[in-house]
Amino acid sequence: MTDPVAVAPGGAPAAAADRAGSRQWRMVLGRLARQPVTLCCLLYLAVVGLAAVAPGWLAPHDPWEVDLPNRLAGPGGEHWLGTDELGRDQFSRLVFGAQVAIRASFQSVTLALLVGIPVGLFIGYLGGWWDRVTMRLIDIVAAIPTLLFAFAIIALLGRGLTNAMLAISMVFAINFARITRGGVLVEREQPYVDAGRVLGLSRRRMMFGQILPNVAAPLVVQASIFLGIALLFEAMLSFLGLGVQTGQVSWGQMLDDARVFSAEQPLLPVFPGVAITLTVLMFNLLGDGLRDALGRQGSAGPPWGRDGRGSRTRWWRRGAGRSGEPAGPSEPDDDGDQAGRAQAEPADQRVGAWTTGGVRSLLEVRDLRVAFPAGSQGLMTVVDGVSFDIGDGEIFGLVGESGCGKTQTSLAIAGLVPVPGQISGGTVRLAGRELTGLSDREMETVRGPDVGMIFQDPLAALSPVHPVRRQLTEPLRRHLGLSRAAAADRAAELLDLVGVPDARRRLDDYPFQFSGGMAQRVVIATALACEPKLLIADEPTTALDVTIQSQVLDVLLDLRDRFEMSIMMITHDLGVVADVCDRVAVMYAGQIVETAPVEQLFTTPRHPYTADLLRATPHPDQPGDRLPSIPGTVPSPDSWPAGCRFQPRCSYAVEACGEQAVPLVDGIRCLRHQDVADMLSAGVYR
Amino acid sequence: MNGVALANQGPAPLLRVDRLHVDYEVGRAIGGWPPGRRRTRVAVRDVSFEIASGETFGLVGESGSGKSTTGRAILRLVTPAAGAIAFDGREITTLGKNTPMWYRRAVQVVFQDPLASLNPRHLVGNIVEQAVGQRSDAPGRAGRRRRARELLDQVGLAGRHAERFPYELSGGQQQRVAIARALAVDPRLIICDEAVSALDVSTQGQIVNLLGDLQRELGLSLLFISHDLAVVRHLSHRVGVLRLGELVESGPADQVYNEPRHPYTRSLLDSVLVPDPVAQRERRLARRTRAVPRLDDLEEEHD
Ligand SMILES: Nc1ncnc2c1ncn2[C@@H]1O[C@H](COP(=O)(O)OP(=O)(O)OP(=O)(O)O)[C@@H](O)[C@H]1O
Ligand code: SF4
Ligand SMILES: [Mg+2]
Repeated sequence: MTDPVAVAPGGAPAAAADRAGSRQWRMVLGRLARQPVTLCCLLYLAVVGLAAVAPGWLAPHDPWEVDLPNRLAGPGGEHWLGTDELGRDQFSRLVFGAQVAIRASFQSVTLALLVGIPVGLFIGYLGGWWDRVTMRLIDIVAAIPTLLFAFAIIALLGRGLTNAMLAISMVFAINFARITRGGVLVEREQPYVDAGRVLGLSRRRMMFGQILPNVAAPLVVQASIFLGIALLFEAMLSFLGLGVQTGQVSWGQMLDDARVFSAEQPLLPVFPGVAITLTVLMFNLLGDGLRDALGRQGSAGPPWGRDGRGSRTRWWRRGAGRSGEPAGPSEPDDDGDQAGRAQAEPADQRVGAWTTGGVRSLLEVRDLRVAFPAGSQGLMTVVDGVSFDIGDGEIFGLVGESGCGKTQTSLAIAGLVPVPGQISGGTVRLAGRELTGLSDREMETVRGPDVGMIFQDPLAALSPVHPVRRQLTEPLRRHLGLSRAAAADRAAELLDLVGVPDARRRLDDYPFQFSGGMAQRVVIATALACEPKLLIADEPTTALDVTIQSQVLDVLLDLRDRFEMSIMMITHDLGVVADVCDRVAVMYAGQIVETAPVEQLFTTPRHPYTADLLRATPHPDQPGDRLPSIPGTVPSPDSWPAGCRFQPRCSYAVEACGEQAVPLVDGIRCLRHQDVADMLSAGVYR
Repeated sequence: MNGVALANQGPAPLLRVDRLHVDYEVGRAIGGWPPGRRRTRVAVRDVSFEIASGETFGLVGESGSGKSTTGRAILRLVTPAAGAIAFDGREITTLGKNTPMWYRRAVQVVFQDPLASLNPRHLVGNIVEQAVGQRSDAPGRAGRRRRARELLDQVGLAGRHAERFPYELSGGQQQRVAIARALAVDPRLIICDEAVSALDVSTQGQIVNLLGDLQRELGLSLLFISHDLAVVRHLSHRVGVLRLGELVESGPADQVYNEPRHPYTRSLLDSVLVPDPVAQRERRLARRTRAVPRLDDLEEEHD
């Protein structure tokens, strides 16, 4: 065959599933290799496994060889761990005991996997009556104690370890079925499953090919833990005399025998006890290690996308749970910070670039840097020397695409950079007070009375288990010291202020009882409770419908007019910027590339990125066939190009652009801004 | 029907949705015995529209207006309570429980969340190959692989992307994979449910243009579902406006955008923010002085 694709890397046309599988295994093994504890577990279990497979190899003596003169000997030369009441070698018996223990636990867990997973997949995927009936049956079976179950099976099928282990197998199968079903119920709602159904994939392929790989991780972990439990169960059964027959060795049985003679030889029960405990522990630790290694990769998405929500810092949680914790990461003078600064380019010198133009500035951010630890080699900077001012009563827009550092900038201002991130440089002054370097506890007195925050997802910002009254009154009582009744009055006023109808009654509603737009108003009311001087609004309307969006923006504009509040409006939507902002900074790849008053930014953009963004934004009044777009994608922080970061996508780029970092001068970060401005004003787009 | 214009001239439409009605079951006690009475909420009522061959029909509306539900009914992912859906003259609501493969091949989908719509445990190449395997003339393993590469190339991805996991691609690239997967079975209609809503502005245009190009090249029909009126305008020949499950207006895109007949359409259009501060400030003034019904009040009542 002369098929160039089929003989591409990987040689023969291997099944794609194998390729995916082998890469994932390599990834998992790589992560396992970085866990010393798990490696030790694996080593230990390998030895036990070897003992189980070939006990004759490891055991120095025949485990049944009676040596009465040497009975109940202590550990020593000939018999490393001593002998039992018949003079049989303890160590050899332990080795042979491993065979029974490992075989019994693997048999029971394998059987359970083979039964439990298909059942779970089946009832989870099909749902309906199958699910309901099976789950009820499972509930009934699960209510019977395992040991009782074992007795019943033994009574029915006769004595013997295999029969007794059936009972625990059943219990495991039920657990596997439940875990699988739970996973399937979650995965079933994923669009990739719908896409498979739309492609007409058979039910079998949907369940085993599409869904199973995504629910497998917790099953593997659970299987490892169950191996330990099965081992314990086998030991218990044998201890009770229900397990192994004569002619086999079991750790549990050894323990039982040792019980009688422990007065004569106190070390006798120790070794089987240790073997049992250690092996169970190792299985459990292995389970923990696997859990870490099997975690699903990358759920990165645009911060306003659905999957960005999970990672958003929930400040009500931080506020509640983190008080009193020492402020480690944001001390401005620790070592990592020095490293961050050393490689940073010099701070931009021309102050004129970012000042508010006459108005007294409330917030002054200078050369702010935020970094996250990356691998073993140092830091990954995500906000790289951002400077701007926000004036009293000004609405300042921070605009840019996904991943350019808008949210991290705002979190840094509020002292909420998520661990393990840190402010690695720069200063933030609010009304003259330096905020970087304040402890978490001090920052808590800033958030609320000085800085209020609104996030994109209103429901994530409100505690789901409390009525909104509590979230509105808590800051009032804490920061302003109001009484319960006074705080409730004020809360109702606040809700009324942001346009929630029937405010007093709605105080006792839970967040989920509000629609998206109303919930966002509640969040705004919460943020306004202490009349902050600065309101940071991070994509406040992105999750909302257009009609609701304009109403929420109306509320913000009205509030600004009433309280002279400054607002930092973070958005990716140039429509929102045009609607409410006075001044705008455009961010790209961690840096501000252009700052300008809003009219100027829209009429005479100076940076090529700004101009491209403006052209790419669809306009409802200008239908067209093709939508202008920018070639390529926004680079992620670990692959920012050298020189001008927009260079790979810039249609004005010249060689000099790639040579060295471009400074921000007079609110513009472009070597060719003069030429660009000339061309743009002449109507020439590249 | 309240003034809904159906384009009846010309050849028979590819898709014809007639008085579609979809209910969702809400809050039946799980496993209750005897089963309690079904409580339902109407998601879509009396929705009718047609999509001609090679045409893009834009469906706009706010969250919860039933846009996705309409698309899912056409995809047979939910069962309509009433109404008819005819594809190429064949009635598909009466097909019974299992959907025939010809229909599965004819109608494909691209969802909003590009990452979640690709199986996280499969390689990109694998995902597309699997779709190629669903063709009526499915080639062997090597042929599947070659065809998958061709499809990836067609949507602007390189061969090396086939060896990656979905999370290793950018959002725009992920959406291209989803489009390649949809194209693998030579569909005649692709339902794009908010297909560009999760993308950056700079990338959004790339995907919108790609969809437009593919449509022209392959003669595809598109049902473009979106809450973004500006994007819908760029791609759609005709537009329908949904509100609380009802189609309040539909017609040629120019007509709906320039001379909206329903007050709801007008208030939607008024609320769109235009990227031009001067114009936007005028629009804001005009909107705030015009008395429009408080939409969120309606929404609260509805719940
Ligand atoms: N699984 C479900 N169970 C109950 N109600 C549902 C379900 N899915 C949707 N609904 C309801 O159906 C109505 C229409 O939903 P649908 O998701 O189709 O709207 P949409 O316009 O696409 O919304 P969005 O833009 O938020 O996705 C809404 O009232 C919604 O609450
Ligand atoms: S510096 Fe060069 S590459 Fe960067 S934006 Fe200006 S012209 Fe483009
Ligand atoms: Mg939808």
